[in-house]
Amino acid sequence: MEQQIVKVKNKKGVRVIPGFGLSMGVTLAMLSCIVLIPLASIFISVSKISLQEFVEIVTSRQVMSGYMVSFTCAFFAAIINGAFGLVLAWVLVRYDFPGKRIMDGMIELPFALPTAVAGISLTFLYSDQGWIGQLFDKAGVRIAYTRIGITIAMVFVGIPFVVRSVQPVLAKLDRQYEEAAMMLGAGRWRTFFRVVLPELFPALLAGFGLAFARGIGEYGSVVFIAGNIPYETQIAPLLIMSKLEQFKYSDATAIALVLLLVSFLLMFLINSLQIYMQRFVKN
Amino acid sequence: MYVEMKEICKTFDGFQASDHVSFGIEKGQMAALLGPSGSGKTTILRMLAGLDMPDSGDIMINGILVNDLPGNKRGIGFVFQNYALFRYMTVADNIAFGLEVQKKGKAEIKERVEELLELISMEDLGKRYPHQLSGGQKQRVAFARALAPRPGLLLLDEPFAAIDAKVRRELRNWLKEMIGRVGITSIFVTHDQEEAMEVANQVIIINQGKIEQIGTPKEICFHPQTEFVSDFIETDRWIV
Amino acid sequence: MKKRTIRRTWVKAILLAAMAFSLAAGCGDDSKSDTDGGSSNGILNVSYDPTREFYAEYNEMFCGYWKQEKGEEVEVTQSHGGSGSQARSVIEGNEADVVTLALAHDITAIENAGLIEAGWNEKLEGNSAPYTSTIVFLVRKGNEKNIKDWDDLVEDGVEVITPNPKTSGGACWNFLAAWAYGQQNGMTEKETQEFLKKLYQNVLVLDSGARGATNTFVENKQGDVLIAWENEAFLSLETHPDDFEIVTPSVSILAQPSVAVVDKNVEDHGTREISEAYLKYLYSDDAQRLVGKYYYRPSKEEILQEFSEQFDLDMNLVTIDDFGGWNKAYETYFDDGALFDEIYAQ
Repeated sequence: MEQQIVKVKNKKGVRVIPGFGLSMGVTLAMLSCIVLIPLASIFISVSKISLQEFVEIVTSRQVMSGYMVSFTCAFFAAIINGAFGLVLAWVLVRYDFPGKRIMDGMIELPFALPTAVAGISLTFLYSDQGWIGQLFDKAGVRIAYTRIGITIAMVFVGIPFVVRSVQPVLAKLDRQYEEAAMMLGAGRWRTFFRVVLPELFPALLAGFGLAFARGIGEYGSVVFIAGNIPYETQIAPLLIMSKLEQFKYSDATAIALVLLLVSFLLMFLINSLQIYMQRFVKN
Repeated sequence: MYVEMKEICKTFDGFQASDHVSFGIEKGQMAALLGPSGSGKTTILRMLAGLDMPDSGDIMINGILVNDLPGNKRGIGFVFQNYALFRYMTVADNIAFGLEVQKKGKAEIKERVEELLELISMEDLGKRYPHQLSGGQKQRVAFARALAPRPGLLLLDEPFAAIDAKVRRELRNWLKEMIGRVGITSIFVTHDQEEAMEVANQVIIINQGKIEQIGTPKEICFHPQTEFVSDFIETDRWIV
Repeated sequence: MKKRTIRRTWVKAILLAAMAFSLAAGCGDDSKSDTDGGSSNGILNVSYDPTREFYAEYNEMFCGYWKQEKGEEVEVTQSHGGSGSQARSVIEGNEADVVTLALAHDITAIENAGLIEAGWNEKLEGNSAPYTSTIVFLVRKGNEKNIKDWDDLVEDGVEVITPNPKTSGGACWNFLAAWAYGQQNGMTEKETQEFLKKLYQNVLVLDSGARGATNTFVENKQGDVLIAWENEAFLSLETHPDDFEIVTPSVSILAQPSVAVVDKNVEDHGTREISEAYLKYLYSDDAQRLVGKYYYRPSKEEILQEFSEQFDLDMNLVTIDDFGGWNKAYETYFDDGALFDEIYAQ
């Protein structure tokens, strides 16, 4: 650690940000106040119950089914986001068309919009009486108040992650790779899947992971479209809320801790894979 | 003529990159497109390859009009300036790529890849990834990859630009020898007179989108037809 | 030499972090003293969602009254949200002077946290509930499924909308009202449980809160019947007079939203007098009429009679005492693994 710092100092005579001490101090303070201490408080809260109680809470049938609903829906939502977000990023980077900037700005709307608003309007659209839901209802598919509805809400909140991860990488990607594939006789599909996709894969994976983690934790928009029927459409964060409603703080944090650990594990795996893939990129 | 360009014009955003360019190259020749940077030589190469489309004029390759044929159907090998090796594929997979496109059998692909690895003297490095290779090795792999599908024409865009001066001369001779051995019609782009004169047996001098002179290195050197050519050649310390 | 520089930098970094901390903490203190300074003529009323419009008008009324009585300007700040989460926010430090929540249980939770003194529910009339409400049905115009009473809700093909009692305090009343119907119609404990199971099998969407359920029924047009608070049902009727009808079942439950002064906070703020007056004035004739205007049932009998056209006063209303008090009811029906969970577990 110490050696590294010295290196940085020697290499760069002029540092833009004033002083390691100041910037590191601010970083530590921010990180502690906003991330570390709240996270630590989860562990402290959970430590008030015994391991046996903890296991009992998180393996109860309702909680397990809540995890199942949250994880599967978040997984499928992240897959859909991966494909859909890639296409969106592609269109935004590779083509010029009127209104492109507006469309680009709209990508962030799911971040800016209160999730409850998103949930209510999605439910309105996708219920069997809504504009879009009506069409599906005729085909015998119910969207709102089913797991499909939950997945759609998670797609909505997760899409910016994929687009914003892939976009800069795609913009920087040298066209020569595609041209080289073309000159070797490859058509569009082969060029895309064999040459372009591997280049975008690390970014796509990062976006996928973030969207997945966001989906697991998403509450605000999902509760409106979910139907919340126990064992069918009840998500894990809703169970946390219901425990809080009953003033059972440690139970709530126990359920939350499992979500947190799964998300952390996921991000850890994805980051490791990215570091592994990074070695191909250096020249 | 194996390759023929007739009255080719091309503009980019009002900039005239090619201005009525016409020339022909016989089968088995090694031609150099020589000119200062920004003269439009790379544009000509890219139009031959089908990576850019001309505004007007005709391009014939082996007697076929290829104007409307996309690059992947022209049967051309192309070596890019920065090689553009696929980073997530091994050397062998890079070379095999064009063969897989042609849906060749596994055994045939394997045989051809081994043959090419031997040609470029990298028999043992087939399992390496591009980031584990030196600049010269990458250049050789890019060459082998372009040759793998047995194209009728090989195009090379500034093939030695990214290689440091010490290795450049050595690689130049190697490439000349290889192309001679394979016997493929080739066109390469360069801004380096010495390189053009040493490697090519036909030199096309381009300036501001126009052809100034076409001829053998000797003709160019001793009988420059325009002021630009004599200036461009003489300013260099190249001596026959 | 180098090492020392580094060490010093780290020390600096940590010192700065500590400074930032104390700065942040200092900000917290500042904001607190701000409310202190302003609170001599300002109070905070932490309430629940459906009372928003009522309290907006009541606050004006009270300010006028206070000015007349004492000649002092007073400012009442409102906060609304789910009743349970509002109670939690007060426990966790929201500086409420008074709480006006949906359930006595939520105020008891604040009492248990030591912020309100015991016996608060005897300080004001009617268990400190200045207005009451009950559970009714909201059905679509024409009442095609012919829903008249609780037993119509368990019929095949009837789709019911009601929130989840585990996340919505209000939804517990829906459950208890249905339970009371079973009990009053000679069902055994087992039969009542079976009856409720059937009812909840007809539930299409189990929203997390009462407003969400109303939204599902009214805006998204889901289900045939919404089990709703009487005041919420009237509000929906007011905004969509051509779309809905209110059906009053034979048996229902009397819900008593309670109010209390948060003793610890008013001591800190020096606002006890004004806070107590604020709650007491809810029982004045003017305020009671305002209560009726916003579709709550006035707790004063003579004012309630003035609204006999609006409310069905012949309903058989049980109270939470018939279930042995809120805590006992909660344990029996809604706690983890209790009756409500059993209904869904099979």
